[in-house]
Amino acid sequence: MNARKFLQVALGIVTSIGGFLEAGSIATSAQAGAGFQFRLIWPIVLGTLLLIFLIEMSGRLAAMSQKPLPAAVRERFGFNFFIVPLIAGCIVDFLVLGSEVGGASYGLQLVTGISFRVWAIPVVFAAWLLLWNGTFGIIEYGVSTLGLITLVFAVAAVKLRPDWLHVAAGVLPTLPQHHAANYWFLVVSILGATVSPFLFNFYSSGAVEDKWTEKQLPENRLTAAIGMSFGGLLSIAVLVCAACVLFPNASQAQTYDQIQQIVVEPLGPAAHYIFGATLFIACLGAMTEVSLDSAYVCAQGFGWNWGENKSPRDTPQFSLLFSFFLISSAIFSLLGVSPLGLTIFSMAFTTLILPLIVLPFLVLMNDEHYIGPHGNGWFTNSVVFFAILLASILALVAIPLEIFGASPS
Amino acid sequence: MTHNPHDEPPRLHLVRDVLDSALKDRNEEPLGRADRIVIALHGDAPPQVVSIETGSSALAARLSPRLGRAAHRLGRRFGLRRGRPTRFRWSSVTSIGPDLHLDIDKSRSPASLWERWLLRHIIRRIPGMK
Repeated sequence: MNARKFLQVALGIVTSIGGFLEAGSIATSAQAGAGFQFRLIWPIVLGTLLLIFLIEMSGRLAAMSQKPLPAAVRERFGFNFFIVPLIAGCIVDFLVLGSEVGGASYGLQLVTGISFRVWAIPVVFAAWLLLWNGTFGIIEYGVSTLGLITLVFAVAAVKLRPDWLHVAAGVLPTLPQHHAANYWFLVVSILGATVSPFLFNFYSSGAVEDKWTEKQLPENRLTAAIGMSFGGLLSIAVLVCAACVLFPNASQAQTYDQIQQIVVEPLGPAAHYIFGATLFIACLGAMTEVSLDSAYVCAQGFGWNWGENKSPRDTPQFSLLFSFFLISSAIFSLLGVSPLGLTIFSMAFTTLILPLIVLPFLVLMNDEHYIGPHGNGWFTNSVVFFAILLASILALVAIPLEIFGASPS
Repeated sequence: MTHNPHDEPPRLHLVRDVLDSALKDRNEEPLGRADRIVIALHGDAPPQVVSIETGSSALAARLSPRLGRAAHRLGRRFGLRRGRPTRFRWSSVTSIGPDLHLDIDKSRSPASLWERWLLRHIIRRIPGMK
């Protein structure tokens, strides 16, 4: 690999790490650590493995067919199928976007003491300015590089000196010894937070915008595997911090005020500001990606002009769509909906709709017409198919149990 | 379009190769997607593909006839083309697969009416967009 390629791969990996953590992964990992110590590391590992497969697949599809996922799904399965994942995806994106706006606003509340409800509109406006005037490079590299601030969780986890053998044991799935409904609901939410469809839609659209070809396949594999693995480690770091700080005192992780303790205790009172800034930056990055995702899916599905590298003058429908999604998602924070509660539920709903998005994706990845000689092997097909199906069945059971109060927590 | 190695002419599968394909003008600008294919029946003569339609009423009609009628009514009231989908003659198709290329200039085509309307009425009114 020459120096330029090495730099490109390194930049891809750095941005994957910096862009990994957002409201969903911080909230679900913190609640898992606070409630079940290290026992829920395994869904993070499983989710990250699945994400590696899916990110690699979406990059491969884009490189081989020059088509992003939504466009290929519309062409291969027709409009009458496409409309189902389109509507489900837009609803879930809207909820996730509301969670990210809530998270970014709450980050500013922690730093300034001014209510997150006041911050919702300025936060949305900042993200909109970034999208309206920025390019894909600024969003991908700029915001994600700032996102490296999330490494603070890794530093805090190491400083807390957990029993690493005990941590490693959490990689193996175990049955819950208490609060079973809450345990399974958190498994579902963690999977939804990790395997976010907006991540692989965003990735494949970026690959098409950057005009990837077959030559980029090795870089694609490296970026997916290394970037996502380190990202998953950051989620585990959040869980480890919560397990060390909140679990021993039976403390809750029901608000971001409580969750901030996981860095304040190991790093000192000033870390309160670092946590606020981390939450703000991580969620701001995710806001840009999720609102672009909704616009990508609609524009690519309906055949409109799209592209974050193009001026809004050339992409009116696309630009107005991401603006609409972004601005309207502030409604949750303006109404005072708990950002953390919204986040946990939107992550669980993400898992529920995964088969609608991933199963047609698997069919495309085995269709020579799109992928040429680089189709999936039986191992990738089996792992992705069974894991997604299991996660979705689990979501179907766990979500009603949590909503209708079967959880004793 | 598939090519048969046994000296048969290439075959076109309308649903697989045409329906839902991206439409591109002669400058590679997107014109929408092939939302509906119009086939004419003339007595005993074989059916003939005459045009491709793109637009919300054509799309809604594929989901259900009732939805199609509702979209048409809405289009007549609020649409820029009074609910009529944009129609491209089959003879303007220059190549098929992976996208459908048409000998059309987007800037003069009704397919870009909405784009131009949004540009004029919303985008250009945003500060810094003139």
